[in-house]
Amino acid sequence: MTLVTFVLTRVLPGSPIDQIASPMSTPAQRHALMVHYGLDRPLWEQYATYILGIGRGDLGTSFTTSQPVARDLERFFPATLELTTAAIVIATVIGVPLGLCGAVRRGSWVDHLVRIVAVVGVALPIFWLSLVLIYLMFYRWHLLPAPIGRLSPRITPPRVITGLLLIDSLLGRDGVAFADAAGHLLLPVTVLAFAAVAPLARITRTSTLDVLSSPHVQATRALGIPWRSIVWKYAFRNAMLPVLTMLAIVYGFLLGGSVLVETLFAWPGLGRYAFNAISGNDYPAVQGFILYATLIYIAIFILVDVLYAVLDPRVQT
Amino acid sequence: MLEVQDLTVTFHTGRGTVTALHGVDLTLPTGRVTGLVGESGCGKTVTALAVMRLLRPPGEIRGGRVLLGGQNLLALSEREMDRVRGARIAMIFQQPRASLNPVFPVAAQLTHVLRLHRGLSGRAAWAEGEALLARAQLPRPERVMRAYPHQLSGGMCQRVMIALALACRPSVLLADEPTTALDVTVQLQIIELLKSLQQELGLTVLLITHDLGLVAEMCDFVSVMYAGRIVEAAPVSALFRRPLHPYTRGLMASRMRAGSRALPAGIPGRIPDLHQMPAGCPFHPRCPLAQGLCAERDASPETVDGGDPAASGAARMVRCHFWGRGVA
Repeated sequence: MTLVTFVLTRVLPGSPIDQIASPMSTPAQRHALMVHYGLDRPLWEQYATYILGIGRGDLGTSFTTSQPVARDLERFFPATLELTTAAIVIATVIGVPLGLCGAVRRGSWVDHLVRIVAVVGVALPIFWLSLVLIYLMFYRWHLLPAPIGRLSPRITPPRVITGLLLIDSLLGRDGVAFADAAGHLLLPVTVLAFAAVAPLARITRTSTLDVLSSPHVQATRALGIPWRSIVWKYAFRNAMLPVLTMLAIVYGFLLGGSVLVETLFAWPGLGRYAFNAISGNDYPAVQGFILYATLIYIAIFILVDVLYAVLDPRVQT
Repeated sequence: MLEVQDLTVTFHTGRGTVTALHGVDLTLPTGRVTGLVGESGCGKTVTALAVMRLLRPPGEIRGGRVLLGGQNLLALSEREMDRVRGARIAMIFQQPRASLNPVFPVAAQLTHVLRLHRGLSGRAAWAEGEALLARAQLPRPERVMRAYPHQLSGGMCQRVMIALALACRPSVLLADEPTTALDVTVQLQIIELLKSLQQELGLTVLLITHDLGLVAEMCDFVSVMYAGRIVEAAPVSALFRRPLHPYTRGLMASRMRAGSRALPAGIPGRIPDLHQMPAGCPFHPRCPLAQGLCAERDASPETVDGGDPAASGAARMVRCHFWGRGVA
């Protein structure tokens, strides 16, 4: 994993020195910079140094921010966490009931709506939706604050406790900051949630339909248990298992999608950090981001596995 | 007594509408076991599901009546039907493990139906659940209550299904190939269990099977089904002594016999595609007795005197133009 990232970043055209050094610098100055960052060493040696550093929790120093990458990631992570978590929560709250209704009332208008949402959600590009929403909600109708960052400049940020502005402002009983943070979150979260609703609604619908036509649902009906209790007491739990897996996949997708959304909304999160790092050939930052994203991904899948073990008795713990 | 009259069921498929049941008549005398035999796909299971009103689209009941104690089940509302299912008619299925919800312990559904139909509360429902499992001869019922289906063997799952089905003291039990998916030794145990429960509780049973040996062993009456029609119905002893319909005779000839070295004779051809039903009698392309008339017009059910004093003069039905020919 680290090796692939390492090689990939090096293979990309361009040199970080171009970004760091001023256009006026002499070749000698450029070489001094190369030596300073260890870029004159053979690749295998650079890699070994990097791996040894990871062991100590040192992800290297960013060329662009001149900060340790580990600290950068820690600093930008809460913004992304807040964005993607809010998006996945909203997508779940909308998508899962939509899929359930579509399956239970198969062929009804809800069902058609689910299928339309599934197609539209996949077809509308995130950047296009973002721009349209920014244009309407901010520029035309002035309903929301400027789509820059997480808080308006005039607002005093709440004391950092979790790094999540909504929670920190609530803990600090700061209604103004909460409202402003929520206003800033609304658009990017809407855009991300919109993309996530489609797969969630679709998998919920499919898996619910599967379960409702299964032999055990038929056998339960044969016992005279009313359809309503079958759906909500029994089938719901069966149907949620594939949805859980899909949630993890979608969450990973949102982490990726946040790169685009964070760039568009000037959101100081991991996605924008990664974008800047890639465009600046900032090797340590790119490597650090990918490592971090991988770890988050793994953590989510472990969490899903644990939930599976709780929900599905067939999974041995 | 449960009576099925002129039951017609269709399925809408991409290739058009097919008729799975063609005016099926079936009588289940109270306290007796009636067998329903026929090849796979002839409509046995559809009949049972239609009686329970468990058919889901694309299946649809297009006509007929299902009379239980004089009441037409097909005219009931879905809520009224929920009070019939499980409480007055129960059903057990071919795939016992797949018929139990994998993510709930046995107790969940067992106590649920006991609360629902018999009004038992928590502790009483639990105790009655254990008693029912014990009655289905499951060892250590207190542990089975907490077990999940994947922790039980196929035979145990079927015993659990039987306990569930009989939990609310139904008078009618529809058993859809209850032993087909089980090992031979387990099959025997389940059959013994069903037999003893049937006698003990005076159950009216419909036993769906393609095992004629099982029919001889368990049933009092038997109906033979072919391509969605009942082609012959008779008391078991009469049917085995003197099968009338050429299809029934073919089934008899295709049995394996212990002690006989002769290979069983199959019925030539195969069951017709429901999309391309032959005109006239659906069996005529495979029938040794077929003549021109058979391809033109289906025979209507004909009541025949068994001519058999041992069958206590019970009437039997056959649906064939030429059943008289070739009968010994």
